[in-house]
Amino acid sequence: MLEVNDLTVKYGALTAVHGLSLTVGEGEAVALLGANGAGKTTAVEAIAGLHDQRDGEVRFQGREISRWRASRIARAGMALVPQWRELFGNFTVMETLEIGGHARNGRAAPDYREIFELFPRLEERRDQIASSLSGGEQQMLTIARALMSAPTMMILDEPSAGLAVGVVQDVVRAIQAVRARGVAILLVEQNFEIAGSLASRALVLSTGRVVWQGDMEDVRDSEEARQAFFL
Amino acid sequence: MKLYRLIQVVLLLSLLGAGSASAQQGVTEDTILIGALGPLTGGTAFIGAPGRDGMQLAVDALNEQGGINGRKLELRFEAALTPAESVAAAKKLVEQDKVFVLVLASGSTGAAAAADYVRSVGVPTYNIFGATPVIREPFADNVFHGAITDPRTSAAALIERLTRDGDPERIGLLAGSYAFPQANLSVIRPMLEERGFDVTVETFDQNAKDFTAQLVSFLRADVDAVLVLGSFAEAGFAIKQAGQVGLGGVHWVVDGSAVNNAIVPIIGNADGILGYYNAPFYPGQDAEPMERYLALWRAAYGEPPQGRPNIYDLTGYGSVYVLAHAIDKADDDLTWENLIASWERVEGALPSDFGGYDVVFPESFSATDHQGNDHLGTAVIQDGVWTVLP
Amino acid sequence: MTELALVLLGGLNFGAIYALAALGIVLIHKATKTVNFAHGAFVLIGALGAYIVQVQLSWSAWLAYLLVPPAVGALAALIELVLLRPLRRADAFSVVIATVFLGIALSEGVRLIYNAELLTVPSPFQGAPFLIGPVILTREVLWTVAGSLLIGIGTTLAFRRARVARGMRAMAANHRGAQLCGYSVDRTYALAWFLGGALAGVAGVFAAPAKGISPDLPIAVIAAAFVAAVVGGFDSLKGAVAGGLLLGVVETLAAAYGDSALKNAISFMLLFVVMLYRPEGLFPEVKTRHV
Repeated sequence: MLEVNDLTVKYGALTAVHGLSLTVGEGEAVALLGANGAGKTTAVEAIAGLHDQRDGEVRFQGREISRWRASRIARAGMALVPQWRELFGNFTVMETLEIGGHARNGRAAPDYREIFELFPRLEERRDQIASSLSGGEQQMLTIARALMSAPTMMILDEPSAGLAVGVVQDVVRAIQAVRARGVAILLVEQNFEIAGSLASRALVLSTGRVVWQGDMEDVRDSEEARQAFFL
Repeated sequence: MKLYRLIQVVLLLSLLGAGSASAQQGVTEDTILIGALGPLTGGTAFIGAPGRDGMQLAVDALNEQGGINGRKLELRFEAALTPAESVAAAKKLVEQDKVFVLVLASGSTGAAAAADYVRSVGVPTYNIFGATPVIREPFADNVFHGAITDPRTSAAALIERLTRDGDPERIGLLAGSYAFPQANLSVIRPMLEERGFDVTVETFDQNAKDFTAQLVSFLRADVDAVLVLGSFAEAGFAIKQAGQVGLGGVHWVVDGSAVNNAIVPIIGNADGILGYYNAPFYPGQDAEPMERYLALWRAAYGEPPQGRPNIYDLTGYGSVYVLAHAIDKADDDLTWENLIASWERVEGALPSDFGGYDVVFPESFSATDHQGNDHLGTAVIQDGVWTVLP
Repeated sequence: MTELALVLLGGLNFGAIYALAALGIVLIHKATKTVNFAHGAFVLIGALGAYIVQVQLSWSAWLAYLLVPPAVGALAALIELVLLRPLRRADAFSVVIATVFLGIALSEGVRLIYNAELLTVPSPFQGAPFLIGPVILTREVLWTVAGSLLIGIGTTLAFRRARVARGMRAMAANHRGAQLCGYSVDRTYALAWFLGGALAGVAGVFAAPAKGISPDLPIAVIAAAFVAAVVGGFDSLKGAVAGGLLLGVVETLAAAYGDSALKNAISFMLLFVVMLYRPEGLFPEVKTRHV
């Protein structure tokens, strides 16, 4: 599904990601772990086409996409749920979902009923504007917006960040449901618990380099991961 | 030591001798270099560019006939819009290009700016478009003026047009707030008040397009006639809007030579509007010299755009023929002094004397009067076109 | 009373043109966050287009309204594509500066090709004016005011409803979010410039009979349109329409009941007053929080 080889991303003179390589198989869920500032967000934004200064190879469903723009990558079926959500403040929930459907590109889209089954709270708020929603609702809307494009792969950048415990559980359940439909997932997380409940394989990133990779269960035992997280 | 001094003196004398033996600057065995300056870009490009094109038409026609007394004319035109550019252009033409005669084809702005310089170097200068008093006063031996008259002459002509078809009592003066109309306003307003007219003055900014407020004021004052001191475009939009506020019945007179036909397409039916014209025929008017002139213009420049040729095309063309008269009268001895003397003997100069077309008024000069033309034709819009009455 | 009605009509006639010009500036800014200083030149080219269609080709005035706006829109989109896009990668500020010089270049280009003081276009309506009591309403004034208002309101509604416009709104609200939803920045920007250019074109066609075509048209139009846009809230389409009409009326009122010299000054006074007491403009857009 996704194959990244030797991805390097720079901010001007500063290199944020050094030669990252990873693969995500069909329907697989992989976690990208690391502390703050490890380069996780930069890496996934580069994969999704949001960074111009990127080098290396990115293949998605067999096609080389490393020079594609974000909009084209989205239409090809890779949906990014960004950490900063990037919602449209004065759009209502329904309008936001309609916009999300723009990247569908002929794929069979879920109807609103399915979306609202996953996120009943959004149905209650369907005519409210995005900026008036709570943090958890906004996170749900961001995931729902991505789902509207019927993606074959979803990249979630710290979906649990800043959310209350109860809300996190709702979000995790929703992601599990998405995974159950066969959508491949690349999950960026700091939280081992959440990552463990969603992903089977993990990579640990520290200062822009992969320092460990393996099965999710083994992460806690690895010295590299401990150091990366200052455990 | 004495010998050395002697050599110095001989050398100096021989240099001076060589200087006086060679002809005046800008004149060779077979050419005469004429310099001209005027705006080719900017808001007054409608003056300079036609002036250049009109002059070039006459230069080419004269050269085709072999030039004047065996010498061909060469026109060097410098673009100059602002006062500073005009002075720089005059200096460059006189000092670097070493022209024989300088033509100011630049309207009042450029002419006023170059006035001091041309007076001080004494180059024979022909101010063909500038109405400004700055270039006219004080009188200078080397400066001559062409088809465009001074403000007093045009003010008298405008008052005549105002009273031509009736007996107005209340007159509205619609004047631009910029230099040229304000200068005219200061001349014409006292003249009107002296004659007992009830005068209402309203001003507008340059290139104004909305005259609603001024027209409403005239409506309040119940004026019989309005004199517009400004550009024809401004006048056109003012007259057009007069119909929109119900000021339809007044008599309109517009200041300035009828530069172009613009007023007609702006207003639609503009018949009866009066003005003056610094040439005997409006471009396109049914007259033989004009037809021939237009054919010549088209042959040189193709199908003219709207508003061309205009008065500056015509007078630019005519001015070269006036120069031709002066140069011709100076015979072979072409010095500045001789040219000025012969220019002052030019009498009733017309293009047809040299095979051109008489689309300008004849010009005459004397030692005390350097204004070539004092005549202003009465221009009136008839059947949608300006016509200059005979 | 009659006098006041006449003055107001005169103001609305010019205000309507300001409104259309402001609308294009706001639309481009809203979708691309670029302040387009070349907008006045686009209006000039629109007016020139009316001259070419109506006077040079002697076609119907309606064809000018039909053909000129898409042509100017295409030119604007082409400029965005060829000139501004490479600059945008460098720095957004360079793009704004580039539009300043682009405007000058286009205006001077027109002056070089049509070297005349003023080109004029006949009014599309020459029939007898309507009389509402003593108030005279010419067909031209009625058409200018009603026609530009219709276009203004139509654009505002379309921007709220139409699918393509939704993408532009999304791009304006959050360009990263819009890209993640499959909206291409390049295409959206080109479309915004096309629509903004087309609005400038239609403003030019309306302006041609009322103002004539002269190289000073861009400056006159852009100054008024910017004031109108700022008064309206700069990112609000209906604000641009209201701001344009308000400015036209205020200018004419000031000249009629104050002094004609006030006409230009008053627009800046209006600007100051609005900036002082309502800095977000008359119709502020709902504040877009970065969420």
